[in-house]
Amino acid sequence: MLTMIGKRLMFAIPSLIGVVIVTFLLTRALPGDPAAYFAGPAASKEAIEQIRKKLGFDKPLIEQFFRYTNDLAHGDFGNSLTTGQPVATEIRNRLPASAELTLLGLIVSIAVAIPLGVLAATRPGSWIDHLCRVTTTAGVSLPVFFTGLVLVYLFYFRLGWSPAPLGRLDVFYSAPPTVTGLYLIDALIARDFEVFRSALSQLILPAATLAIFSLAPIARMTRASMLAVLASDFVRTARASGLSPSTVIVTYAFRNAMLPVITTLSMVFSFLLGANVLVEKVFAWPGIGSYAVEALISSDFAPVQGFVLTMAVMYVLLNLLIDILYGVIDPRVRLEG
Amino acid sequence: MSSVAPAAETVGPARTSGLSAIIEHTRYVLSENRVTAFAFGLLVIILFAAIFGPYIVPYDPLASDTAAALKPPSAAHWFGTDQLGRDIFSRIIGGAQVSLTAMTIVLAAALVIGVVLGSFAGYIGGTTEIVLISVIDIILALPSLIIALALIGVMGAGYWSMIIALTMAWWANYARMSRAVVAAELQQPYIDAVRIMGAGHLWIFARHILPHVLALVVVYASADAGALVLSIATLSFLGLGVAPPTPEWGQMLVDGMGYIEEYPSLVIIPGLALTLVVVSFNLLGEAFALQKVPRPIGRRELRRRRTSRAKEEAGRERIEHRNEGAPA
Repeated sequence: MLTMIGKRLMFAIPSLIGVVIVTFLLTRALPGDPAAYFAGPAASKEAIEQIRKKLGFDKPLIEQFFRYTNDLAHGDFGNSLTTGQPVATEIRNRLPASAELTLLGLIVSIAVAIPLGVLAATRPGSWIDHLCRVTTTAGVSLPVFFTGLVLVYLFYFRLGWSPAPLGRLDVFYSAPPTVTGLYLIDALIARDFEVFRSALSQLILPAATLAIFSLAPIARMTRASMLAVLASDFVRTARASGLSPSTVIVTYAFRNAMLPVITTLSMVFSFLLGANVLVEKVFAWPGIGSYAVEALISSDFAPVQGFVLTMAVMYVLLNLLIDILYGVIDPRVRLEG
Repeated sequence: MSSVAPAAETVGPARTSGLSAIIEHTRYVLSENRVTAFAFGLLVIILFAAIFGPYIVPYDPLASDTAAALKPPSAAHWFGTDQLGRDIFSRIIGGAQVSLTAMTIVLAAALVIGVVLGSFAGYIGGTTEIVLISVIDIILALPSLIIALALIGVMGAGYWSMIIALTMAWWANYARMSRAVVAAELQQPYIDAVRIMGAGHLWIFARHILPHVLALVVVYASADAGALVLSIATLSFLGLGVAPPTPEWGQMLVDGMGYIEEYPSLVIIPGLALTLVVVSFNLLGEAFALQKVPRPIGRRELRRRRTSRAKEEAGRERIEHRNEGAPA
């Protein structure tokens, strides 16, 4: 098992190095003089020259690259031009908001999609199968921001069930003392159920938006893979041996059918990272996605670079986690290790 | 190569009679499924509207008439007017033109870059191939929207930055596919035969390998059209793509966001237009990508072809020397 994890880690490292190289080249490919760029529009000639020295732009490219990776390794992502704050700090402050939203969206989506896919596969041609097909087609085709806006219109403006789509907490409450940064968990730790309720009610719509978007591939894969497993020989044998249908489906088929679904999860997560940016804009969510968009609009490259690096690291780590999970579920992978 | 060949007959610019085979195949795919036929019909209408839009729209999509702002749908303005008094119907049609043009440019550019680089690397092999594969791996290792955002961060927001960023985020997949097909095709004995007969590299590639590459890649690319239209709308929604006042659905949506409480149609109409187009592209792309069989065949035969296809894919993966991902 450990060797397998080590091997997967070895696969993950080249992609990370690649991402670092690419972001480095992108910074150097910024239009015009990067030193003038980082100095800001109002800088004098001497100031630009000073920045050039300070940032090491007068050194050869390879030395610049090592300097750059060294900075990254020490958590120095540069400063944002618009806010003047270090990018690393801002990302660290904003990451929990995005993480909470994405994780809840993923959990809701898995909780809906897997039962839906299993039911559709066990009753092919029934209404639930049709429901599954319609949901999956709609899920991949509905623009995330459109779903989000329609939900806001219905549940906030028309029905008035949900709070205003403005951030993580109602203005009357203050954030719970930070332990994990996830408001739901922090509120529970502080035993502040009012705040918990408020945080949850703010989270429901954006998380539902993400879930509607991401359940399509999961449900589709669950259905296809369940169908394939249910048609296999060992399921026929299990049925012929007189095992109850529920035992056959839950113990025999489901576990085997989950393997491809877990692989799909890594793709879904990649979708979610992208969709997050949009959902954060619609719901004025103070996460790293909205941070990156603000920076993009004011052409502030350092935060964008920090955002891309964070996303890449998260994506690679999650893929690693999924590979490990795969090994936990499938003993063959562990043995091959 | 038995199972790629039918695709070459139908989609590629291939050896059999090109156009009539394509028409025949299209008719077959459409007659299979009513939903697909509906999607096809809808796309034909939208395509027509996009091409002839400027001649058929009742109003100039950019002309504002503040006296007639925020009017509900009426005989004069079919979908009503927006906050500047512009006719929404005309803007939706103008948006179709903008979206489909941008999508076509990106898809064509990504296809050309992907097929050329991928085939070149697959044909030459060696270091070139290894370098290209690593580049592709890095690009495919990141969500495409994130790559596009990073590139826009460097180039600044705007229409052409959006086009370039999306192309850069999209070509890698086609390059990977092309390379795999070329590598697999080069293993075929008939290539050696042609070479012995004295054919040059360019001839072998253009005449014998390219049709196979295009057959596969074009089909996959057609299934990506919907996702691309969505990406364009997404970037415009974020304010990083098509800039106002040019009509574009994602940007119309973000414009209407502030008025959603009183005038939800400002958001819902462009949203629905976008959704319909994407659904149609996705359904159609799926129908074409899944059914590459020109003539109706029995279930048994279909299954046989699918298994042989799956085996071939697996073989191709093996040739690629890449055993990343999970062993099944």
